Amino acid sequence: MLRIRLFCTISIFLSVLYSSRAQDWEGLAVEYERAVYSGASLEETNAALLGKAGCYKALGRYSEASSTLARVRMFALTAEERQNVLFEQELCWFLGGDFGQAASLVEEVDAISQDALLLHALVLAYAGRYDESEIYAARCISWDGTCGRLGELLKLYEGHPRVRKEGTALALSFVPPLGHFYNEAWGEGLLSMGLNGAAAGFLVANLLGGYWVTGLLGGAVALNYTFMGNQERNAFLVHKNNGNGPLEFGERLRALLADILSDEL
Amino acid sequence: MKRPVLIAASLLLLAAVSLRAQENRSLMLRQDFSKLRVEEHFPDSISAAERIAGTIGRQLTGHNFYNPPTYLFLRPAVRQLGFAGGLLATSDRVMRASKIGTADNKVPRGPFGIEEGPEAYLPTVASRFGSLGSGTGLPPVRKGQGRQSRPGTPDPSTQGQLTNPGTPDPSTQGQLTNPETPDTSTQSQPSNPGTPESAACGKPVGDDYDFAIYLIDNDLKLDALQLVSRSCYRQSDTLDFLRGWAHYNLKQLETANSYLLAVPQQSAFYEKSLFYSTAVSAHLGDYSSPLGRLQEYNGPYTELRDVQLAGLALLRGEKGAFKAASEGFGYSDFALESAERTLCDIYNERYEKRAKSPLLAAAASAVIPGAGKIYAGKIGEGVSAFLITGALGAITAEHWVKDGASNWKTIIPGLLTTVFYIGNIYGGYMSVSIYNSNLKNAQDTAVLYNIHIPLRTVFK
Repeated sequence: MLRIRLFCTISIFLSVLYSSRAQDWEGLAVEYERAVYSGASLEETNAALLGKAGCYKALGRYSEASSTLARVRMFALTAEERQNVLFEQELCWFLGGDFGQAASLVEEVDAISQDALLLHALVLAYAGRYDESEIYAARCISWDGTCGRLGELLKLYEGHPRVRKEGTALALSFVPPLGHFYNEAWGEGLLSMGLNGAAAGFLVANLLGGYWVTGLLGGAVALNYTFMGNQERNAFLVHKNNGNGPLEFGERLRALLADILSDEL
Repeated sequence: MKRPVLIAASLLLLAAVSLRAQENRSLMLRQDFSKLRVEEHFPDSISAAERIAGTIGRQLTGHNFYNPPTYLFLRPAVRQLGFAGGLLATSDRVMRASKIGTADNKVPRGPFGIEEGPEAYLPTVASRFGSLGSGTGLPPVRKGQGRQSRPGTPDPSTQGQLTNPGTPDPSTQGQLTNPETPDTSTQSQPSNPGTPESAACGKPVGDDYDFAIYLIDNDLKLDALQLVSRSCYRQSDTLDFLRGWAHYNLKQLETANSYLLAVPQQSAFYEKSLFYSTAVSAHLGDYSSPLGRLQEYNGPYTELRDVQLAGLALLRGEKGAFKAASEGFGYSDFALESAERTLCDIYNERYEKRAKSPLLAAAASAVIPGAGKIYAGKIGEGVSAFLITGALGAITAEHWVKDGASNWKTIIPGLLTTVFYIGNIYGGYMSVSIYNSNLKNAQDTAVLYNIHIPLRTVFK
């Protein structure tokens, strides 16, 4: 009964959309908020909030859509409706680029549809949780029982980017090119090795030549710059790789899934 | 709504939901996340030499301390400051762009380093903010406030500094024009510049006043703006006020001001509009045009008027006007006492304390490299300048003694030492100039704060 009422209330609001200014999502969002403000029943309030979130979603304002969905009174919904709201919330966090928030909802949204599986797979991939993502992605493409391109998917996951540790990079950077090599910055590693070698050579040559002041002030300071700079650079490269790796992998995964799912259709 | 209509609408919803499922999948697979990538700032339009310098520089410092980075600084610096000025500014920047040099820098670091271009060395502009000591007792200085905000050039960053005015009190709402009764203004009143539409279609906005305030108070400001920007409301003082209030809450100060100024004297919203528009005008850098309106005002908020007049006098740098306005300070009103005392403190600090001398800083730097910067409160920069200039000097001296003055081993470090030494003197001079400019900015910021924030309490 509750669902029917909710359904009807949403319909009323939708009819507002189609009967008044079509596509005026911002105006419609205000009208939904007015329904909340005017002390409507719980069901109507929830329906209005869902409608408002839909408007924001249509406008591409995903974080506002998520915030609006967070205002939905979950206790007044059936289990199925709650699942739908949570799915939308996870989707909006994902679309808004907040993968951490989206991943926090994965456990709460039941993977009972292909779309939910797809969303979980993408959210977890972008959040860097590749093993969990792989399971959802495999289930997603095997949804109708066939899994012709599963091997292709598994191969993609085998090459997922590894999470690099800053501590390891810093430890390796005590031997100048190794930290860079750990970050797969081959050219920069060689440059860093050259700079450190040049600074050390300048220091030693001047000390051997009796130029103590030049050696210590020039060479040692230059070596300090090249050595410490090499460490700082490696810390940054770890941050950069860990930030961009999941994004690049996510793009590849989306391209593959889009291809597989379009084949299915 | 009748049942057949509901059924029809439900069918419509079903169609919409099935369409939406397809749309969700498409969104999931096509959303663009490229903006989330961690990028390195390496502009495309740089020369090969600058690119090489940047690549090497990153290996030396790990990341950029400043943006634009030092390897891209020389060219624009020479363009803006001339050859000598650009060279000296660049040498000063080289000395500052290090861990020691930025150790005591309180300016927040952006994704590509501290934002600072060659214009920081122009005497009329101070962009090296946040350098003041904590002893000033002033709110933190923020980029874009004070001297950089002048009439006609609203700075988005300035707009972002405004404090939310808070929740209007029910007592204020009690003064509202009754939605049932016509507003004080007539429909023939001309609309403001920037008014979306002011069609004469009939609905009084008073009906939606509480809803609009609810939206603003619940951080749904864009919704509030959407509501009051509709063209279906009858033109009225309430509408002008609500539009102004919505824009003000969205930090759209120029538009807010145009609406607040349109509220007529007979309106219940006049006083609130008057004082808020004065604060907004001051934030926009217009310190003169609110004067006439404030001086004409003779209502129950005369002490608040005097506070704003005194603040505007300080911003304009008029000592006499400040003294005249401050005679109205009572120091007894809870809402205004703190602002009154702070304005007097700022007056004393500005006009009765001696400013630091840039020439003294330059002289100090000439004697001991870096001393001028330390005098300006930049200890890290001073130490960095001392170490670099001193090391280069020592290297030059060693080669001079061992190889003679005409040997290239002496000439090269000698030239570098000369450039960095003069750059250090120039940097010391500029640091104190910037310190003084920053101090004035901080004082202006404090004045703006104190003519604005008490409004929240007064109109609660």
